[in-house]
Amino acid sequence: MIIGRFSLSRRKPLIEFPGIDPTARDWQQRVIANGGTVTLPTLKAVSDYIRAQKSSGLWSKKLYVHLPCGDQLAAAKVPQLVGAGSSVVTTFNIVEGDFVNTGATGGVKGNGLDKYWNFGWNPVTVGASLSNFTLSSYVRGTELVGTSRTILAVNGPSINLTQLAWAMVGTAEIGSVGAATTSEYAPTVNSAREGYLSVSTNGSRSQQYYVAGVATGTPVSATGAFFNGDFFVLAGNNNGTAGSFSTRYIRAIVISTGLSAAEQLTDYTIMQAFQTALGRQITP
Amino acid sequence: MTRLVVNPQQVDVINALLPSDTRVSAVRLTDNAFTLGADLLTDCDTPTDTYYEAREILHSLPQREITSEEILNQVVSDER
Repeated sequence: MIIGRFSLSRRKPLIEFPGIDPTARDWQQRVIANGGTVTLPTLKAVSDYIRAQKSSGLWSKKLYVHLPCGDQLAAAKVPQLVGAGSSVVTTFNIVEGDFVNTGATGGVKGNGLDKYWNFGWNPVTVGASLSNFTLSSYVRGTELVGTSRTILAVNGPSINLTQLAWAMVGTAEIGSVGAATTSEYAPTVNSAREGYLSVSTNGSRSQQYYVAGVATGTPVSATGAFFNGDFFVLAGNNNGTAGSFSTRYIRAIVISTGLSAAEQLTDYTIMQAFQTALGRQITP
Repeated sequence: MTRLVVNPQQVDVINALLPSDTRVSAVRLTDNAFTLGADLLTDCDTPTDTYYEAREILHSLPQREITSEEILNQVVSDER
């Protein structure tokens, strides 16, 4: 039954807001189908993010977009752009209290022990390009600790590493796209890194690390391949086993094709506006 | 920290009860005991809770205080 702008179903009221991007409305409906809800300010923030991505020409480069947000974990588990991933991410040991929508503790928080998720995105089955690939995540928290901690990754046993992580190799924040060995990581300096972190290849196997949309560190070429497995978040998928668990807050997971330096900056600006709308931005 | 003592067969039973997008996986301790986080009990008592379908078995698990030195590794359930 539809009354004006309000459509009522047996399970939950479906409230459609005018002026919202159709892709955001589609996400809202998938949230509701998963038993979640989303308020108008959060829906508008998602809509503004998608519209800005579309108007800048970057949306067509997106392969997967997950901005965990909404009124509860059931909403936060639904990606905005599913692509070849799962329509709802599979969480391991994560409880409702691990997710907060807005503010300084916003995002999904890991515990460095057993909490992580799998979003069903395998770069091999997707057919992703090693020389045209971007892995990005918006995180709060640094992990200057004596052990590796992973934001997201898939890799074989010490080979074919595609990831964003705090790594003990050089004790640095690192990114890689099909690194054959640990010596092929693109590291930043050994200091705290949080906010929008990204590693990108754009027309070659040269990997460039970005922090807040700005190229950081020296590019490093990789010679390995993608490992045939799904990315895990808040942990690495190490040859099928979760490990190197993170304690950070995850506020976005984005996979794109290759981005230029200018596109990285635009992508960051749009992401920063979204996180700011939810009060969970990190000042660079 | 407080953990729930579990065995691998119970982990599989719990996962069989849960929706396919919700899973538990156990952490193995140095004495080869397996444990789950006690915070699962904070999210299983009402029908909209994440682990509601497994509430009975979760509440039946004994609790144990462990130290970080006792943690050996994390075990992924076969149900994944």
